[in-house]
Amino acid sequence: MAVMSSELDAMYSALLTNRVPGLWERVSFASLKSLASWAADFVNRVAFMRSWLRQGQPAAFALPVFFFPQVRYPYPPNFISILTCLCPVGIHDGVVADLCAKTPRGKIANRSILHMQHKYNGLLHPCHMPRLLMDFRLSSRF
Amino acid sequence: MSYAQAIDGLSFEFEILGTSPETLEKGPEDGVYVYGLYLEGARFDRRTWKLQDSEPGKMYDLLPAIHFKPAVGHKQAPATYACPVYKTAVRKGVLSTTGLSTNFVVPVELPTDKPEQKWILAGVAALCNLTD
Repeated sequence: MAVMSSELDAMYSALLTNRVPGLWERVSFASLKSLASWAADFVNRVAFMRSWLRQGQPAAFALPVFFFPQVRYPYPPNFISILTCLCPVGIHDGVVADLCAKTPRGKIANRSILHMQHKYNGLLHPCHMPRLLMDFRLSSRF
Repeated sequence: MSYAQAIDGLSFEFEILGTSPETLEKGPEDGVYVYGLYLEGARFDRRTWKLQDSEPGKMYDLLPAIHFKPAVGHKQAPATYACPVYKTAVRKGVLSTTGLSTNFVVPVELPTDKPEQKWILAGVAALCNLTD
């Protein structure tokens, strides 16, 4: 009986050796950091986006925080057009609430996110936040 | 602010700012202030405000905040080095549909009083992320 899939096993050994697991790397920003530094970097990126959300546009931007997720989405192609302008792998609930509150057309944002969460069962993965937030800024102008 | 300029004619002018990003209170009228780039292969001298050789034992140097200013038909300013910005220290990437490497971000012009070839030969580049 297989207790662990090979992917899960690879993730486990990556965690033991302080490397970013391949599964995460696939949706992550480009980085050569070890797992510990990667996680710290990730927290910083989220903190930057959060302060942008809560306190408005910052005076200066940290360039490394922005990235374009050049990944092959493991989702049905007809859904990708919607998802690329949202977030392919779900987002944190708290962030969703923030976004809905801040987006002028909150209802639309709300609905798309609910749709997405329904589709993917609210899978937690905030890796694509920067892209997501930039798109929200765009869509709120139309 | 709208200037009704064709987007494919736009590029960036660069101004290295003397203040740290935390002390900036207001964004610029045009463009953005950007920070968080590390210089590899050289350092940015805070006294002469120009590129200089690295100091012994110091691999990387954090660049000051930079003002990215959109400009029409901008040509590289004289006495500058067009320093490539990469996402990671491997520098290589795969060719993307834009014809650029996926690891490449943008060239940033840094003031220098030495010939540009010196920095090209030294492979001086700015990195978004260090490997630590």
